[in-house]
Amino acid sequence: MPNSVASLAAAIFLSFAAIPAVAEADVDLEAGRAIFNETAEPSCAICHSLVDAEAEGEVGPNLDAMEGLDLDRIRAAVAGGVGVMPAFDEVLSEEEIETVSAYVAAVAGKDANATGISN
Amino acid sequence: MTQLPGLKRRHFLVGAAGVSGAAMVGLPTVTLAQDGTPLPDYVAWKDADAMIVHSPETLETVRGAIGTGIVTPNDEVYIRNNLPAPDESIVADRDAWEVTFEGLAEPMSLTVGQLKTVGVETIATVLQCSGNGRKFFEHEASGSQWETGAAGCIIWSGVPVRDLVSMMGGVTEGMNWLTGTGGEEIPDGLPPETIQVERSVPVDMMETAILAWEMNGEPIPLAHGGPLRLVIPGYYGVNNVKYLKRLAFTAEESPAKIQQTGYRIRPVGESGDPSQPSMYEMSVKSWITGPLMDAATGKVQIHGVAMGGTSAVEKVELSLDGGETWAEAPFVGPDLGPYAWRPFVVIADLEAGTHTLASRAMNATGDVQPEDFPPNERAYGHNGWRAHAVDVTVS
Repeated sequence: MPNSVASLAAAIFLSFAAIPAVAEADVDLEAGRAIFNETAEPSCAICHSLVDAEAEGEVGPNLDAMEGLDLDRIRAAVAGGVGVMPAFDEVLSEEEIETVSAYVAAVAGKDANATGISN
Repeated sequence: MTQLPGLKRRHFLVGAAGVSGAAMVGLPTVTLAQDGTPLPDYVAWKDADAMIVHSPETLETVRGAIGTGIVTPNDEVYIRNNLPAPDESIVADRDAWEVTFEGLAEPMSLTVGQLKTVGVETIATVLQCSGNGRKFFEHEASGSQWETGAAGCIIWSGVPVRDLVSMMGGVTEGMNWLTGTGGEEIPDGLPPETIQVERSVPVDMMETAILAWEMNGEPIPLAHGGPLRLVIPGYYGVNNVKYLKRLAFTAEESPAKIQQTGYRIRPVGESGDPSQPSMYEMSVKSWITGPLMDAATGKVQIHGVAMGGTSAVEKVELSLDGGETWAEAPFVGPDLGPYAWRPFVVIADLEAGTHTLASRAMNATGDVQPEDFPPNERAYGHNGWRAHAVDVTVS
């Protein structure tokens, strides 16, 4: 089953059409950014790239390039961990987990250049 | 296989003219996987027609690509790297890779070259990610949404751990765990246990475990853990530590998060903790690999694969009516041992219409693949036959 240029073009179009899962107006971006960069131990930024947070970690997925990043999945990942990513439910409060998850859901995917793939 | 000029995606944004222009000046090419995403560099050698790219570290084998294959070719085997693969330089001189052994009467370090002179065993095992089948759960678990393709059947060659134990004078008393540590780099600012890939399995697994340097007759590719990988037959992929740099017999389980709280099966909404079952033994499972959507009326070859988990798969049954009735499906090809999977094939005469095809395996200890599998927080271990069934339209 061959791929086509058209399918790639469609994928690019969809990435532009993607709308953040959470409206920014409802989210405390500053608080979320601070948890992302400072409060979380270890900091999210050590492992993840996220343009809004000026984070350039390369251990975990580039959050600007991830598929299926909705608030429920982000919250589950932060609280319970994914694979080698540790659970943060012991180091962050429920409110902090909610804030940082909503922050990532609101700002991730804004880097139009991100592919998650390094060529 | 379709190839396009090797540009980052932003370069495609200039439009088709830019693409064709780049092609004309002879830039390198990248290969697009089934989902239209280019293969990452370190796995650019994979068969793009057989792969789905979920993320740079998670690539799934297309369900139909397995067909009736007993052994999954290296270029079709799934990728799930918990950390980015180390630099290619570690496989420049494979025999020089060094492993330390601890918790033995005579602990020591040995190179892969030296390991090759201790003993050699070849085993076939199903390699399967704990999250294979995550897509079939409905509770929106985070992580890659694997369907059936985070699994393959591999032939490994390496040195039996029991031979090394014998050579080093036996395991120190009180060591209950066999702990393998991966050689991935940990970034500055992180305590190693935070993200280090270090897994402990019950010490008895030393009887069947090997330290493998060969995968399907080739040196293990970097992406799959070369130069040296710990293989625990019958255990989920995460226990098969890549880039093995330390093998230790330890009194306690590894303090790494991936052992203590990660890869623990628990109810939805609960946190991981060491009291919960770890993702060790794989379960009995089968799935159809074709046809998956459409077929022509008349005789149709229906095929799939069946595995027993930690005991040999004994039989597999096929249903053409969504599980109302079942009939045994014959295995085809040689039996590669209790940890391998076995392909099965049935030639059926299907009438026009939609048929729900399902398979159900049983292993030598009598475990039967269940109809459903309960949800769990991390969406691990799904082997329910109903979710793995396929609706095939015959016309």
